[in-house]
Amino acid sequence: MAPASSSASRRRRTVVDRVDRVPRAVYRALFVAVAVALWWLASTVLFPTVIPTVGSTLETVWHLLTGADFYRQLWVTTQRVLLGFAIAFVAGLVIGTAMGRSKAVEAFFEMFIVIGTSQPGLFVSMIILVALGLSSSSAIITLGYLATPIITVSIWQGAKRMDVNLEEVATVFGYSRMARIRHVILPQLAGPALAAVRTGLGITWKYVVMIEMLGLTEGVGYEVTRSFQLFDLRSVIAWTICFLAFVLLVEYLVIRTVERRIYGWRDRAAGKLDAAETAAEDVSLVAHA
Amino acid sequence: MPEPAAVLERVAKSYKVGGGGSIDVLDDLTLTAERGSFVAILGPSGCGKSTILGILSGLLPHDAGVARIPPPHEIAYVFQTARLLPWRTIEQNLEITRAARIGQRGHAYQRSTADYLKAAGLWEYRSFYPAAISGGMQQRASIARALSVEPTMLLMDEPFSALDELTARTQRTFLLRTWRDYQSTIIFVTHNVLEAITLASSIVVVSARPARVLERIDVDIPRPRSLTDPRVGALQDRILALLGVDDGEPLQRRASG
Repeated sequence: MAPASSSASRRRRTVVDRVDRVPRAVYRALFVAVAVALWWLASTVLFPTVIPTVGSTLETVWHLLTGADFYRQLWVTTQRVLLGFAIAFVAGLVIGTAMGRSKAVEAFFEMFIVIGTSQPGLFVSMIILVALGLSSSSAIITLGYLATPIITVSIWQGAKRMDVNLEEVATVFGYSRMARIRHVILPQLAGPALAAVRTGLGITWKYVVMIEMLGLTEGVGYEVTRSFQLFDLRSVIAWTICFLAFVLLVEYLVIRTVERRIYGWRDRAAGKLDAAETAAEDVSLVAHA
Repeated sequence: MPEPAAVLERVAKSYKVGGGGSIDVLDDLTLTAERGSFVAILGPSGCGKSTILGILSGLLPHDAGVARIPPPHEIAYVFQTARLLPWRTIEQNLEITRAARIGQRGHAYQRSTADYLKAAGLWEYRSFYPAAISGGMQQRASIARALSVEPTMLLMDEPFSALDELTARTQRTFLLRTWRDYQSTIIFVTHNVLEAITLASSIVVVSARPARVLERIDVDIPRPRSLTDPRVGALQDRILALLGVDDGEPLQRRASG
């Protein structure tokens, strides 16, 4: 069984374009190498008195990674991020879907979106932290509040762009409510939801350290502030590197895996045969006719 | 004589437009589709053919007249484009739709999904997602989906107009074959005169808006109908004259209308 003729695909290329046979990992590694080279240049030639050297910083990184403290602080911070993000995601999902379905709800939340996506997060954090007290739960609530608008926007746009043609198919063929949600609506929301996860997590990672700097006594942000107050730039950079490494890990191990699963139908459109580059041509019927 | 599959009697329909006015789309339209017949509704673009299908499918209410149509779960629909769920394989597209219908239907399907996929020449492609097969195959999958719910009436809204002519021809052959095999009533909307002549057992020629039936023509030219058959040419001239496109020139026997 070799049905797919190997004509060039007339369809949209799959999401991941081939980059001239060189694996993408090579380009990613190249990016890291360039960044390190620039750092090395800065620490040895340009500002040798200010910027810590690559070697000594990596040593500190090594100490962090082999000690227990980093993981404890990272866990505290990650918990805040996940809980804050969860609040924001549920809120965004509910508000965004409602906005996509109802003009009244859309109008009601319109200003919230405009304000929310451009609000000065630092000030908002100050207000909420002072109002609710300097505790981990206020931090979580603040994060949830700050990430809600951007998640809402994603879901709202997705809900607005639902394919009415497929909706009609579901109606004509009498799809049940469950079948409609499962086969017609959710697959369309998956893309926007994934975008919302990315931007939402991005915002929470960013703000969590800021909030921890402002007034908490634990977490990555707190540790970095302490190092900063001691003018220990090497530790600041080491903490930042470890933190970023963790964020990258989440992106590549978790989010991309989910993405591949969701978009399997687009990347491997030919199913098991994995002939994503070939669109099967109509040959069978010509033979019949 | 068995009862017809669908009857429209003096059906009228108008749409409200902005500013308080309204457009009459159908005016006093009468139409009968006998069981097992292949009725082509033919008219100029924008004459309200889709509205006729909407009323026949029971999804669109009409303003006046009588519509006797089968219950919704006995009607299947093929759209201008395939409208398959892109995130489900060809086979899943059929399965999901069949599963949706089985509840209202109340009895098991006579044939399996595999039968319909094989008939459509899609068996080898059953695990493909729609994006991986050609447009013609997608449309055939959508016809297989409609047939696989074993409808008593199949409504088709210009199903081949988005395909190139060569592909469309293959699809027409396929449709005729399956229509003979499955004995379903087909109501087929088109603005392509030759397509109607090639396929239909009767052609309902409809006027420009508001749509009225200009004439109902039973086509008794034996199949397969050749475009070089003089009877086909004569019928085409007659229909074009009805539609007022008779400009005195020898009518081009072009394949798309």
